[in-house]
Amino acid sequence: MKRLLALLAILFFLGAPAFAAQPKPDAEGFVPVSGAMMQPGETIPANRLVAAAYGFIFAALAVYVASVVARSRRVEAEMRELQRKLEAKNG
Amino acid sequence: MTLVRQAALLLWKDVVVELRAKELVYATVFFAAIVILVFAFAFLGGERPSVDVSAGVLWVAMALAGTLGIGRAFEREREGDTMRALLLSPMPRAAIYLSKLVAISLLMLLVEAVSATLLSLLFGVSLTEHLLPLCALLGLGTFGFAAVAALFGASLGRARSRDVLLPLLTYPIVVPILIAGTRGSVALLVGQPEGLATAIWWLKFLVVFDAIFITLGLWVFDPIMRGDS
Amino acid sequence: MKPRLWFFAAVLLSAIGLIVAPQLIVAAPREATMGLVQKIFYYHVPSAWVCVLAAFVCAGGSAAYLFTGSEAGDRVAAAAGELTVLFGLCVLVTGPLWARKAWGTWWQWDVRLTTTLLMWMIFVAYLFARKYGGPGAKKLAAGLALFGAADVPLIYLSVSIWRTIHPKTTVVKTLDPAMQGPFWTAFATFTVLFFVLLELRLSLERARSRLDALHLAAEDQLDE
Repeated sequence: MKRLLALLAILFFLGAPAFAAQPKPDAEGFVPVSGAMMQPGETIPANRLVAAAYGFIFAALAVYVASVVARSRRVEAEMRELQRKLEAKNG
Repeated sequence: MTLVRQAALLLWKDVVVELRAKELVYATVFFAAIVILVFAFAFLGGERPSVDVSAGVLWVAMALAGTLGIGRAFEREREGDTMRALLLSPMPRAAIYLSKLVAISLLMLLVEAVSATLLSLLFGVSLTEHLLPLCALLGLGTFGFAAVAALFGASLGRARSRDVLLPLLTYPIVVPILIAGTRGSVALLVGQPEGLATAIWWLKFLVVFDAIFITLGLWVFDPIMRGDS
Repeated sequence: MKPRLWFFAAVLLSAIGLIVAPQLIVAAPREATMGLVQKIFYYHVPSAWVCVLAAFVCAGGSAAYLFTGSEAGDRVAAAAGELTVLFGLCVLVTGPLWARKAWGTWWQWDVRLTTTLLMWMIFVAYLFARKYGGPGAKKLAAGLALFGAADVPLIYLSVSIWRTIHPKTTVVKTLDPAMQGPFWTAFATFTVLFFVLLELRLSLERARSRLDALHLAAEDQLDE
């Protein structure tokens, strides 16, 4: 088993330099615009795209929290039901 | 090297069982042929499709037939409850995993040999020009695929929806292997001078992925199967 | 089980962040070439970061469960697995919305996009395995999570390995000072939010295991 793992590790390191040999990317960055804030003809669709993106994230988070809360309620209800049954049985 | 000997022993058992039944080989080879024929009907209506399509067809056929064969192989184990017996035996789990991995690879290599031949006949691609690198690509790709599929095939043994889950769990993980295999094959089959270098780069990629997958498989197989014995 | 103090503090922090970050983002300068649409960046990148963080937490919990049999590890993995899918979905939806404007197309078979989609699919499969895997599903899913996490370094490296049209990860380091404030606020908010959601989801998972224990105890009593 150990020898096998060692062999696999060797294979891994033999292959790995292939990745390093790939061309390196040049540095890039965002450049803030100076001067006029509006670019004619692009505001409206970009507005919608940005609104859709932010709207989606907030909606997704809200739906997820709601689903977790709903599932928690169901579990709690089931637990109360079970306790009630137990008490009816014992009491 | 007792581990290898034990694995070889288990592998021999699987090969003998299959040689007697021949069910898996016939079923998967025939299925792969059907997949390639379906693609041929879909793509070969008008002009000849590009090399990209042919290479893709080969790897898709391999993935589909592979999943079918693996599902059936473990179904057979389940029917006879032989997997349980194997897990209860004093064999190391790593040997069981390795033997399954190699058995599945052998089956899939057989399927690939048939489907590659069929592909060259139907799609008119020449396989002989770079036969050796192509075989290496297929071999390494198959090994990586089998490393993942053997793990999940074995551990899905008793899940109700195992037939659905096996491809669902396996394909997303092996997609890098399918991409590497397809791109490498395309580079070889197009027949450009730089094709061989590209294919070798993808071969190295496959080696890295095989190493990762087999290491993870060996590492995880024992704890995953522990509760089932 | 009393919710702990740190949880309330974290809820408060993330609430403040969720109110402050959008204001900072609105006030941030517009990007020269991409314009307004670049503002998606401020939530897109933190979502991606949290997605990766959740994937690693899931893999860590899975490893703990597989190798030490820790039930708590399994619960953490289950919660983090869901969050990986949630934040991954946010990345995969906001990305194309940005790309529509910046690249002129919703989707591009670019390495970064492909590997992200792949990781997301692995964690969807993880949830499937947990839900429908039958007996032994937890262990199977844990194995799957480890494979999924093995894919993450590839995603991170993919951008430096292959030529790609997706902005490089170095963009964060060379960010304009005016963009730093909103970005790091959003980044911190998302990180805190992740732990809040993780704790929320964990409390559900803990309640479930208490219910299971109660069921087991009740079976003995009710059968008598």
